Amino acid sequence: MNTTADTSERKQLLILWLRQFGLWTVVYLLAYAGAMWALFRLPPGTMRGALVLAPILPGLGLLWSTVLAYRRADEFVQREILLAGSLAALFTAAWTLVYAFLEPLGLPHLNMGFVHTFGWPVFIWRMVKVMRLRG
Amino acid sequence: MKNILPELRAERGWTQVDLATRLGVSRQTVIAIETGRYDPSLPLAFAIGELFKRPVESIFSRDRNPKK
Repeated sequence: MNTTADTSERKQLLILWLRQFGLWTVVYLLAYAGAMWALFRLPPGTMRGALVLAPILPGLGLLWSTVLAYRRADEFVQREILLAGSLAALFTAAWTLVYAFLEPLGLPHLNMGFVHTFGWPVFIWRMVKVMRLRG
Repeated sequence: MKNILPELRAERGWTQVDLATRLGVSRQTVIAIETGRYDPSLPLAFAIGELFKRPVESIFSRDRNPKK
């Protein structure tokens, strides 16, 4: 049992995670918009390369905020974070498996980054469910 | 696992937040244990026993009809 953080910190933990996650998501989307603009509007060069790679950092921030939340959480919340991650991974695996066979039949080719749009909502749904636990 | 945490807590007039604070866990954890959604680890179960000054087996018992 981890007793390093008191309950007031723990109570706020998931809310803090959601805020950090939301902030990183906004930064990621802005960087993504900049990357798309640079990809299609700028000539090849250092600036274009830097802007196209820019979303990587906030993307890693999204993951890091979740790792921090896990490390600060108590045993039940840690279990729920792992469960949320497992469900998101399973959902993503199922979706990519199905799409891998649909694509040759004519569905559009998607960037690998599209898997995030299916996995993260499942993860967030589970986490919000834990936050809203009432008894 | 069934438990009598809500009764023990009520006897002392503690809220779920009070109990969570005393155990050093989140309110979600207390709710999950009380509702049978989560079985605590042995260290946490013993901490609960020590807090209420009762043997662990007098607080927790096997649920013959566990929720699925």
